[in-house]
Amino acid sequence: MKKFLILLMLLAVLTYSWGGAKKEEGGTVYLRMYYPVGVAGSLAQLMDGLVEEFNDSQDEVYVESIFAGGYMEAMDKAQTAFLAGNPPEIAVLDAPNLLTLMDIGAIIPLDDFIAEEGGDAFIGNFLEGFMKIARFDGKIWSIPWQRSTPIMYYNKDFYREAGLDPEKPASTWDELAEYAKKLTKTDASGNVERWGVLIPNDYWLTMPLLLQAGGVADNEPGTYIAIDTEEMRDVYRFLHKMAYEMKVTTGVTPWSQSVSDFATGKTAMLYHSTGALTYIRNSTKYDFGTAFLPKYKRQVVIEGGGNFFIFKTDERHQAAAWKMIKWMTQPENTAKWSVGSGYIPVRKEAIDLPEYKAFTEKWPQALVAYNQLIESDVERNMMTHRMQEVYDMLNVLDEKIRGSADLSIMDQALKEAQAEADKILAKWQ
Amino acid sequence: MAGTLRSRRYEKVKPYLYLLPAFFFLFVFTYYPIFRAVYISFFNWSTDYPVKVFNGIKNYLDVLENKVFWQVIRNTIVYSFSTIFLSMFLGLFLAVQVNKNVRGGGVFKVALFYPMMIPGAAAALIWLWMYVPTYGVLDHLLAGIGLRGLPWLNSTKTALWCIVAVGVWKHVGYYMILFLAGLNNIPGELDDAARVEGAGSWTRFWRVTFPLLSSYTFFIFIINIVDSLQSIDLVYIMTRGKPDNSTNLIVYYIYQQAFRYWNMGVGSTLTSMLTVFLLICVVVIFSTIGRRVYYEA
Repeated sequence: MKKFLILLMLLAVLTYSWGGAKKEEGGTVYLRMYYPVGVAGSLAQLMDGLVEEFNDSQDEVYVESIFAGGYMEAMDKAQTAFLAGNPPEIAVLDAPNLLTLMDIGAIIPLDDFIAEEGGDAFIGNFLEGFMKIARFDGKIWSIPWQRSTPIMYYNKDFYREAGLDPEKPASTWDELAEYAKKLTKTDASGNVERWGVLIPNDYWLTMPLLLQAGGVADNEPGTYIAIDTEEMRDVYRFLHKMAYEMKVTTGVTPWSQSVSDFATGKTAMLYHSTGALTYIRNSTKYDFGTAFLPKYKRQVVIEGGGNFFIFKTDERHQAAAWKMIKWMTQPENTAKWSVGSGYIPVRKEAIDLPEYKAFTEKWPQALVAYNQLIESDVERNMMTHRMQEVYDMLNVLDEKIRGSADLSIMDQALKEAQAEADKILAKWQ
Repeated sequence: MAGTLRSRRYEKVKPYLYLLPAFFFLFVFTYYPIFRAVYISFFNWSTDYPVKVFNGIKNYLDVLENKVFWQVIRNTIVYSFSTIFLSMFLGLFLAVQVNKNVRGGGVFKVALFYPMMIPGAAAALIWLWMYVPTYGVLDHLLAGIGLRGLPWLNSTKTALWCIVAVGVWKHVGYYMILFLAGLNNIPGELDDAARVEGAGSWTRFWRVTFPLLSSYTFFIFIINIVDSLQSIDLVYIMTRGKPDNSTNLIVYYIYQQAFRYWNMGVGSTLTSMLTVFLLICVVVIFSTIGRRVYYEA
């Protein structure tokens, strides 16, 4: 009995210390922030470092930064934590999750905070291309943080080897296919040693292709997604031709694997996020460049990446969360984050800061995404209700069509996917 | 008098008292969640309906009508059958070989058991890298003997088998150890007697050793079924069900529905179906094969 009691006491002490670990001492507000790392590399350390700097800079708010996996896991965790009644106070999440977070009532609009900072004058400092996805129903729901566009990475050494001009990367779909043909290398037994181009299976990369082909992806209120269209067929015909007729690309390539494929020289060109820039820079021995995505009927690209969301807690915690977000998005901090990660600075002023200028002079590749955002059409990332489900479904569709050597399955697959999407969004249509 | 009566009564109650803590945890973490899942399965509870709405058996009908569900069931059956039979067959085979007093048998035992000690997540990551096409170890080896590389996890045709291979590799050592324990419990005289009667090694194994092992085989079979139906770690880390849902297994599918899409009603429906299916499995197996198992007195 005595032993049992001792055990019980030990347990009590343990639980107490566990719960007590998150101390809310004196006037300091304690916050938890979930954040994802969407691309390869050591961005987690960089993020933790910035948060630590914020904590040291003042003593009213203490933020614990919690690495939550990729974009997908971070959203899963935030959602589940909210469901369990214990949400984080702040989370960086894939920006199109906005509608889902709104639907479950997890987040608050930020307009009151923004008004206090000067309203439009304050928001005007952020790149407008990144603000589209933060707005809904006339309110602003999130603040841009780790933002990117897809860009094309290309290996200059391989360009030279194939007799192509390393300063003139493929700029149209036709050129892409033609260059990829020249850049693909196959050994005697038919093994492909190097692909011409890789476009990982992710709707975030399919959607720009769809827009370039003149298509429309979704509607403004996020209640419809266009799948069974002629433009979508154009995209898959093009990808199929490159994969199975010309054999210059793969049908299925996982998102994260493709980055190391490029860094190790297993592909000469790669469609990927600007966020992969630092990893590639640090791990490749090749001379590489970055370029706008090749155009087809239109020169267009989409934005992407994570925004800060404030979860519904109480006024004291919400105000503290805003304080932290405001600090993180100060021009010098967004510049620091961009220099370390390759993401585009979300504040216009950051571009002209000396430390960012020095960085882009040394690594002009980093400016490409920013220029693409300024110079070509930028459309909002896909955003619908029940986003996760729709997104997974689109990726499954992509793998199904591109994974098949026989393109005749396309019609049926697109039709079924459209019906499925309409069913998922039925409540909103 | 009263004292002995009380102590007798205490003696009667005592076993229940000992069982109570265990039952408490079973109730909180197993039985209550099961009942709760069954309850929720009759509701529409999702991001569309943040507040539960009674839905009758519609969730069940929707699930049964869903193409992906049937694909997941197919995948799970293929995965379970192949891992169960491959790992049991290999485990038994290896146990018999190691048991033959071979030189360095201990080394083999440790080497074969080793994968079991690697955490599932780490093992999955190691294999993920080995499976990378063109510059992964496996393609490298294939190229070394002049063969074409395979797409491994990147093709709907091969991905599931890649996961099966890792599952077998991971578990076979454990089953080998269990079989070894069984083999060591079989008195050598029985084998000797059979030998004297002129039985060959094949006959001796199937007529003497294997029947005496049946309680072990049965136990391994049961945990194998539960294990393989519940496996999620490999899929979660290696493929996320990709490509084209070809490696999506039932527990991962439940995770997707419940925690990724937040379709709690559908997730609970699937959970209830899996629980009932497992129960039926166990009952059927116990009442058929289970009756023929030989337990030493």
